[in-house]
Amino acid sequence: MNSTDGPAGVTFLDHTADLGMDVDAGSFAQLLHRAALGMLALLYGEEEEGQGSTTPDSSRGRSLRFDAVSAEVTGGGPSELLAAWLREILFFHEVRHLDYVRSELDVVGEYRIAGTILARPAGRAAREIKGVTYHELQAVQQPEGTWRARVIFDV
Amino acid sequence: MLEIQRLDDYRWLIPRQGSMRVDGIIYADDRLMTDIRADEAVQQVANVACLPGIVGRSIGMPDIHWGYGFAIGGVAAFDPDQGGVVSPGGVGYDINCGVRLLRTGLTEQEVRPRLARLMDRLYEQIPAGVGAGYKSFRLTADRIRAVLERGAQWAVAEGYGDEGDLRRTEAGGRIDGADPDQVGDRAVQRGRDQLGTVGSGNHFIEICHVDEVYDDLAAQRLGLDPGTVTVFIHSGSRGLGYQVCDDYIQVMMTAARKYGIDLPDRQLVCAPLGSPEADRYMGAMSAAANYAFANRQMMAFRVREVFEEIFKQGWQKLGMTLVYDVAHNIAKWETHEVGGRDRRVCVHRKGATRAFPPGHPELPDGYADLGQPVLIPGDMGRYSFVLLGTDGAYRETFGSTCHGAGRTMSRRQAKKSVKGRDLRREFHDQGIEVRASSFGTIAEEVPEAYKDVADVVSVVDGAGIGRKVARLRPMGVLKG
Repeated sequence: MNSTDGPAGVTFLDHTADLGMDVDAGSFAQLLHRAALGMLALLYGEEEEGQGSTTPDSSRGRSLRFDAVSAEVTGGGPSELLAAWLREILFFHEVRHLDYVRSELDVVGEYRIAGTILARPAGRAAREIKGVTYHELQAVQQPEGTWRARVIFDV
Repeated sequence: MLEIQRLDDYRWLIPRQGSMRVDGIIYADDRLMTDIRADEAVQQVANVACLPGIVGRSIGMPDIHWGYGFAIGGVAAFDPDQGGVVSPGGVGYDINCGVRLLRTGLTEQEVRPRLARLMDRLYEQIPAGVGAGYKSFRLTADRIRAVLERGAQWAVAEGYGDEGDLRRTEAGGRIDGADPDQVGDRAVQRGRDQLGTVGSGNHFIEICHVDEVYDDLAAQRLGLDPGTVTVFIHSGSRGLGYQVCDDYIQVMMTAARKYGIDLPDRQLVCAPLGSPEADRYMGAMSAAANYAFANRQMMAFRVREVFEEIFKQGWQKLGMTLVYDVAHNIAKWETHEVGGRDRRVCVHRKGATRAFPPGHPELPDGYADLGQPVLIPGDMGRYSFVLLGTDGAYRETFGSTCHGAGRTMSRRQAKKSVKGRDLRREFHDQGIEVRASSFGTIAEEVPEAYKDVADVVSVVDGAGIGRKVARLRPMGVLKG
C-alpha cells in the first residue's frame, strides 16, 4: 500500500479497491479525535497529495454554526470501540448532516465511550464511505504509552 | 505461501491446506492470474475455505480482487446440515448491488442526434452522487416497510412498471423471507429518501448500443440485434443496505465468539445457519435486497419517462422492455448437487452473478430454453457484455459467473493519471456523453483504472461458466 500524510497523526493508505488510514496519538481520546478527522478528510476527498494539512476546521463552504450532540458507543475492546465511534460519526454525517469537529468525552473506557460531540452542518462530500470494516482493524497501545490504529473503509 | 496448481487454461486449484475445509478454485488465464496473485485475493479464497460447513469449493471468478474478508468476485455455498454459516462479509455492504438492462426498439442512429438532451434529462430526473436523494419523495414508515417486504413487486403495484418487469427480474424482484422487523431504525432512516437513486462510486446509468453479436439467435431472442440501443442501470440498496451490513457485522462478531467459530479474518464474522443471529440477518439482508430491486425498478421507470419525453411515444411503443435484472451481492437459499445429491445450501455471491442454465425452474418462460441472461458491465469507456447461464456454471460454480471488470488502479492513482486531461472532452470525442455530479468520480472511474472486461468474459466463456451473446458500447454515461 502507498501512503500520504493526512490531518495531524493520520496517514492515508492507498489500496486498489478501498481506502484506509493509520492513526497515531498520545492517548486513546486523541486517537478517537484524530481518526474522526481523518475519516472526514477521506469523505471530502482531501487525501490527495498537497491537501494533507486540511482539517474539518478549514472551510468547506459551510456555516460556522456548531451543534452539541450526545453520543455513546460500546464495543468489545479498543479496536471495536474505534470502529463503533467512526460509524457513529459517519451516521451523523449522512443522516443528521452534521460533521464532527471535536468532542468532550465524559467516559473513555475500554468498552464504552460517552460524551458530547461538537458538530457543524455537513458540506457536500466527495465520496461515500459504505462502511468501517473490521479488515486489518486495530487500535493498540504501544509500549511507550502512545496509541496506533489502522482502519480500512469500504468506499 | 499457498500452494496453487494450474488445472488447465482457465482453472487454478488451491488444494486444501492448513485450516481449509475444502479446495479453492480460481477461474483465470495466465495474464489475469498474474494480477490476481499481486494482491491478497488468493489468500482470501483460502480463508473462506476455512469457514464451517462450506461445501464444494471456495470459488474465485476472473474479476476477483481483494475485498474485506471475502474477496470481491467470490462464491461460496454453506450446508446447514454440516454446520454451515452465513456471513454479512460474504455479501458485502451494498446488499443486492446488481444490474438491470432495458432494451429499446430504437437504433443508435435514431438516438445519437438526441443523445445530449437525453443525458441532460436523465441527470435532472434521477438523483446521482454522494448521499443523493429525493426531497419530494420520502417514504413513510409504512411504505418503506412495504418496499422491504415486497421489493420490485411493491414498485410495480404502485405503477412504476409492469408484470413483465417482474418476470424478468431475479427472484421476481422479491426475496422470500424478508423481515422488515430485523432492519434497524438507522437503516430505515438512511433508506427513506434514496429509493430510485443511483448513488456514487462505480454505480451508473448507461445508454449503450449493441455493437457485436456472438450468438445471433440468442441475441434476437433477448431483443439485442446489432445497433439496438439499451440502458444499463447499476446500483444497489444504497445507505439502507450499508447500514444493515454494518449492524449485522457487529451482531455476528458476538455470535462468532458465542458459537466458538475460529476465524482467519475478523471480517469473515458469521453465525451458524438456523441460529437466531443467522435468521435475523437473513431476514434483514433479504429485506435490503428487496429495497435494491425496488430501487432499480424505480430508476427504470424514470428512464422510461425520460425516453417518452424525448421521443414523444409511450415506453411500450418504444419497445423498452426489461432484458433482465440480476444481483451480484447476495446470499440465497438454493438447491445444488453436492457430493452426488441435491442439497439446500446458502450460496454467497459477493461480486459474482447468478448464471442459471437452460431448463432451470427459476427461469421465466421466455428464457427457459435459453438460460438466464447475465449482465456484465465494463468500464465507462469501452464495452459491456450480455452472457447466458450454462450447465457448466451449474455444475462447477453453484450456477455463478463473473460480475464485471475489477479495478487495477487505486482511486488516487487513477486521479493522478488523468491530471490535466479534459476527460469530458475526451469522452465526447469518442462519442460518449458523460454527466456526473463531480469530476472526481469520472477521474476515479476512468477506463484505464479497470481491467479489460473482455479478458474477464473470455475466461468465463472459455471455461464454460457463461456464454457470450452480445457486446454493448457506451454512448451516454450518468455517474454519481
